[in-house]
Amino acid sequence: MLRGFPTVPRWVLALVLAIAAALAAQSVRLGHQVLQQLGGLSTAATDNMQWNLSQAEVEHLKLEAAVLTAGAPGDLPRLRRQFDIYYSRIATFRESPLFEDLRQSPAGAALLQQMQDRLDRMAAVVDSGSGPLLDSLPELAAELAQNSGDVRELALFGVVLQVEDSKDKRLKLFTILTRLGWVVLALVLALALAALLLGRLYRKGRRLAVERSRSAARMEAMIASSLDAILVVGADGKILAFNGAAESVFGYSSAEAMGQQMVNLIVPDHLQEAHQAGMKRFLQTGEAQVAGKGRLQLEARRKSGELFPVELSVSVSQSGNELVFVGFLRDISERIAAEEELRRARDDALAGERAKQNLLTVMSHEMRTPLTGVLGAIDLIEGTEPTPEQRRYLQAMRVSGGLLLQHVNDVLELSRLEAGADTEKRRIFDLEELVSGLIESQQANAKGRGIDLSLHCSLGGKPVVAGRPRAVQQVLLNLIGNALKFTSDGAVSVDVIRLPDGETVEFHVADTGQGIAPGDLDRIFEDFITLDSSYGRGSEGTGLGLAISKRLVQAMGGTIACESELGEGSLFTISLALPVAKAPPRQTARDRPRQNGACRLLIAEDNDINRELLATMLRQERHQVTAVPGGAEAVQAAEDGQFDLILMDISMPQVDGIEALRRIRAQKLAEGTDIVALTAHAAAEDHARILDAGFAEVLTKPANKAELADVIDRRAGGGVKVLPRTQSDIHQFFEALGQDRARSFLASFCEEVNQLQDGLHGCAVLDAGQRKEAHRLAGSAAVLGLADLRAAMLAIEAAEDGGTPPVAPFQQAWASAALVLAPHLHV
Amino acid sequence: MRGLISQVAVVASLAVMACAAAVLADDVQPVLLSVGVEGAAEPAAQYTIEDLRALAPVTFETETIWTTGPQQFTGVPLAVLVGRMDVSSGQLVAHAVNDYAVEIPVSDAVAGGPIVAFERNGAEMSLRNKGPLWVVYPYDSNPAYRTEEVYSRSIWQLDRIVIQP
Repeated sequence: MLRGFPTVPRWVLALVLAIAAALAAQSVRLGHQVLQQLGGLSTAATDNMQWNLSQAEVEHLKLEAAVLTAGAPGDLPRLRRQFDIYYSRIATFRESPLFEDLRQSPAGAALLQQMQDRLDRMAAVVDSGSGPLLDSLPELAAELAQNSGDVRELALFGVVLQVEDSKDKRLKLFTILTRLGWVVLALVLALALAALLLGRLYRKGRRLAVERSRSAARMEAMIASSLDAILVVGADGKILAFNGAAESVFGYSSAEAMGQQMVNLIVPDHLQEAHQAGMKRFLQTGEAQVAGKGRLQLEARRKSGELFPVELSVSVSQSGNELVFVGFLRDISERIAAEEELRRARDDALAGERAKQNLLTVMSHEMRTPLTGVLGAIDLIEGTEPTPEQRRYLQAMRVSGGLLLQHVNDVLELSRLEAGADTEKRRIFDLEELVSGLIESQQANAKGRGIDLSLHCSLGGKPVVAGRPRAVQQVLLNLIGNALKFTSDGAVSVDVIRLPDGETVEFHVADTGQGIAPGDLDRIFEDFITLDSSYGRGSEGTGLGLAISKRLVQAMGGTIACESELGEGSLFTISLALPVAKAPPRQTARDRPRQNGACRLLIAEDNDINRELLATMLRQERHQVTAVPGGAEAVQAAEDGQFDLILMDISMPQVDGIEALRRIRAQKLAEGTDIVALTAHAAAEDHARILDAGFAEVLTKPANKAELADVIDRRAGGGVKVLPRTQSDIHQFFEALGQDRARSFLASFCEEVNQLQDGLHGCAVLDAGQRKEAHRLAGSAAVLGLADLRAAMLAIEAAEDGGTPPVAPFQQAWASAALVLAPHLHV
Repeated sequence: MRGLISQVAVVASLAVMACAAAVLADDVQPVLLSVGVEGAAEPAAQYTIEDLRALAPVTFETETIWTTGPQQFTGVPLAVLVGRMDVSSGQLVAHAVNDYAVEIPVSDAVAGGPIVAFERNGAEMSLRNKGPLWVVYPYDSNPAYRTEEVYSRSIWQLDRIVIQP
């Protein structure tokens, strides 16, 4: 509705017109009356009366003349006839309706009566015969003389009556004309009102028409300039409109397309049937599958016959009985092609990433498995009483092999963390104990460099937390190692503080070392970054130490940050969510059958060499080992015997480790016995898959003795207690003594330890020299930060006389320490 | 005026004498209506009451402006009288006993039109009662007959008709 144009309801107009019609009818009726009146006036209705009245006087005079001239009987018939004529005239006054008014007026009635009486008297005389009539002539003349006044009066009466009559008629006419005037005025007003209303309607209509044509023009321009093809199709399927974009998209000119069946023109053959069916269904039931359903993607056909993808949106427009479909079609072949291109590029990139991941996995498998063999063989050769020279070479082989293994592990660790691996489950542990042990293990190293290493724990008396102790330990060790490395004659302080939120624990590792240049601060956490002073090389050689630390922290949902001033020192801060937990009851010795701390172990491994090495290593630890070459055999063995722990390779032909475990668990062959996976697969998803299958934990090959001892200790409740491996740091040792002196000291230290090991080998009883030597070397180990080795040597020194010396832990610790020392032995 | 009156009086007295002669003749019927053509010396036709009764008179009932209540008239249609004169156009000049005269167009003489009435309400009309002949139109049956013009043509005391072809 247009503004400024109040709506005129239709009924108002209808009412006005009805009133006008009624008024017109009334005016016609009144006009007719006027015409009648005017006609009456024009024909002088009273002429007759006037004539009659005046004629009465004429007849009277004629009669009077006849009476006066009569004297002989021969005059009488004329007199009588004249009398009759006069009589007839007077009778008319008595009878005619014309003289009603005369008769009604008292004076008129009296006059008429008087004249009638006189007439009657004269009639009696006239009819009386000739003689008497002649005699009565004077008498008759007298009557007539009297009568002449009356006749005159009658004529005057007529004049008065006529005047009155005319006046009445004029008044009547005036009244009618007045009424007619009012009616005509009202009619004019009504017609004027109707004209006004019609005028408004007309203006409104014209405005609407202009508006409509304007919007139609706009619509046309929109359709013409649309980049999308627009088709309007009637209910009969014929094209009603075909815009410019449609012409260029489909290749038909508008003239060609108009009036054609759309389905024949642009719908591909294989869609035509569905289209027809859809149209039919819609027209019958009004149920739409395409129309009004938003954007759809379909195929369309060009004039050339080429099929191409379109995005399509159809709406239904119903106006009265006319139903049309308006379709917007967009040629999306280029978009589809671009999407395809992008998808391909992404797929290629993902494939490349997968290939890299696979390469790493394969590398791990392919390198670790032979390494297991090499390192295990070294362990075994050492048990065959090699000469001191051979032992040195063996040691070199072990150290180099261990170094190689560590490099591989670093790279794999990084890729595992990168893949979001979360191999370590949350556990409940004593944080304070963990940190204290860590500091303790680094004290010797710190002292050697003249560093005051201090720890302040502020955990509010609740040191037991839930978290991932190994990751925490690894990160802290990394940071403390770095702090010690880059500080000399200063202080390193470690603060562990529980924040007031009760959840977060902050670790501060502060040193008074050389610090980091501001420009380098951002880079130290990146992969493979080694600053000029080899800062960040917490993991020897790869430059991945801080990168791994950062990923570990992030994997635990924490943050790591560094502040530093060149020449002043550095402060690393770690925030980790380590909520307070209830300490679990101390694990007591399990009530399992056990023989002298030894355990019954089942090993399933398809690689003959590895199986043999593993079995030999474990037997050397005095465990009872059953070794089988496959999954089926493992199930059988589990059925036949009882075991404290089962070590199961995952990748085995026929029945693999997961299947074997499933069978063992399904048949309840080893209830209460943990099954640990041995695998060369280092990838995170593999670990998750293995743990989901029901394995207690995963050992990554090659597993060294320490790891095996640890898992046996935890899982089988037996074995030898092995101290946690710690990385030693001997940088400060080197810096304190200088490269050359340190290297030579280190070489002789290695030599002496090997000699001690040789001396102890196969030796049942310790002599005093050996004890003294062990004590001396323990001190050296402490200086080098080799806490495990030191502990092992102190154990030898303190071993009871006559008892078997604890050689195995010593060998184990020395093997680990040798890995640490190896990079420093050679320039 | 006087001359006119005296002339009228002379004519009238002559006519009265003629009537008187007819009355005196006793069995001789008086002529009530004579019809002639203008300029002719002798009237072409003369009708007594018996002659008129022989001309298939018609009867109708109507009101008039000169009488009270419905009146029944019987008379010879003017059309019949005109038909006997073999004229189809022109004027009839109808004359009354008192020398009143009026022109009636020949075209008025149609069937269902005016009659020359000789009976009113079943009785012959006397001179005192607008007789003996009265041209009456059927006023009630046709509104066109209710005009002053027609009323003026309704001549009573008719005694002759002169045709002006």
